[in-house]
Amino acid sequence: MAKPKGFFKRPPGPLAGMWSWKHLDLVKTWKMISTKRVRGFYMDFPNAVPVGSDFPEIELATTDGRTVNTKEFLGDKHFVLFTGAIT
Amino acid sequence: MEALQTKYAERNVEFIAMYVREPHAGERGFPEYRDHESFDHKMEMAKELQDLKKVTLTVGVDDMGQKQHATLGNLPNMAYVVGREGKVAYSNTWQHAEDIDATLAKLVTADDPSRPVTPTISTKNLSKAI
Repeated sequence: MAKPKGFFKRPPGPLAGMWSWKHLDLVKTWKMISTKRVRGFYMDFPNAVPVGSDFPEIELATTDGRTVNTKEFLGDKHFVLFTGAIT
Repeated sequence: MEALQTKYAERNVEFIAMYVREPHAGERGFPEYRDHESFDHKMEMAKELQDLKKVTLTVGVDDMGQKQHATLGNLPNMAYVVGREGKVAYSNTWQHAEDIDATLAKLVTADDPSRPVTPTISTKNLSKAI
């Protein structure tokens, strides 16, 4: 089955993200990404909030003590929301 | 993302980094990090991320239940671009600066065709930096 647009199985960029393996526990990570649960997150992603649909209201506490709510941007600003962590 | 924020600073685009669970806490390169034990711990680690990566854009933290993260797809490095009308213009399982740049260029150019923006971000030379 063709992958939907906006779907990368591995990180894009240099060496398809393989450089990052030197930081990881290979067995643990391989086991994690092979589980049905984690694979499901990736396979279900295109249907979570599809392109063209309304983005849900997201409210987050910020590191500088504020609260940011995506509905503040409605009619005013475009925004990019992305996820990340240290590890 | 920092480069994109700088590029689009004058064009009404907001950037939000959503700090989520640590997917590789305690692994080979990260022995000093552990899973979040409380919201305060999570917030502390979000601040540490901000310092480590010298992040200047807004960093937001979901609650410990991660309901909002789950709503969006529960992935550790996903990205969404949302237009001012609240519709998703682009999404991906992994952040890809080139695609995000291209999407934003299209959105802001449509806002003001007299000030067109072209995509300029390239990740091709990053392999030399790693």
